[in-house]
Amino acid sequence: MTLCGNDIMTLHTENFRTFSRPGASRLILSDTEKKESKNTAIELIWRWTCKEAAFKILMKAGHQEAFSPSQFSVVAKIPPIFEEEKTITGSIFWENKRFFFQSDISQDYIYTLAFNCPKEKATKYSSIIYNETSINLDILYSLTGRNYLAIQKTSRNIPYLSAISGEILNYDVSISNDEEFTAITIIPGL
Amino acid sequence: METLFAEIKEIIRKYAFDKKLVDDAKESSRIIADLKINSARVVDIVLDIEEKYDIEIDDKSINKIITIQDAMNVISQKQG
Repeated sequence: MTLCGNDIMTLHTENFRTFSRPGASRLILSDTEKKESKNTAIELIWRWTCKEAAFKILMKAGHQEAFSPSQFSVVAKIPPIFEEEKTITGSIFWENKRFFFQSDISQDYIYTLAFNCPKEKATKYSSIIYNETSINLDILYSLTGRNYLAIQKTSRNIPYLSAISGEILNYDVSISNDEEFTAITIIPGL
Repeated sequence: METLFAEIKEIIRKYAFDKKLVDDAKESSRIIADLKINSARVVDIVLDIEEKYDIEIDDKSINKIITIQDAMNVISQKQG
């Protein structure tokens, strides 16, 4: 069963301020990453998106604890040079689990989508990134081909798709918001 | 403990989009899920707590901080 997790972070002032703070890398990086990291804010933001995306998959699999980024290790296939890279791929490790990610870097944000299997083996999925904070019927139609859907969240903050009638639909859903950007990924038919 | 509760709320309030959610928060309120704090701002909250109380919160302890009460417990334990 393919599960996905996504995370988007804007490359705006507030995130740079947070991830430039002394002590931020200590809270975010694993022991392995601490040895190899250049500790730049953009690198920390990228690693954070990877870890949060993987954490969302873990949550769907029943993980109960809060997000602890230093427990995850991100390994890129090729060490990224952020001034040049537009796409980074690789793996995220947590205990004995491995997740597979692709990060896309734009002028405005870093977006990471992770799966619990290699991307090429993942069930066909639909993704959208758009410049608004709301989720409307048209956006969900564009992702699913179905009308009158809504995204709701469980008490553990895990998103799911339901019909307006209340029927819970058999889709895996991941949502991320940061400032004005929203990213949604939907995998049909679990 | 009431003072500690108020102080933590004040720290969290700086990073809240909806300040009223924090004003109305209880000890049991979940920082991300209930108070709608962006998860990246938890880094700021932990670093602010470290600075204010002159403690260092182990990176592996972050996953214990889900509610305001959890943050109060971590501070109390670190202060011995």
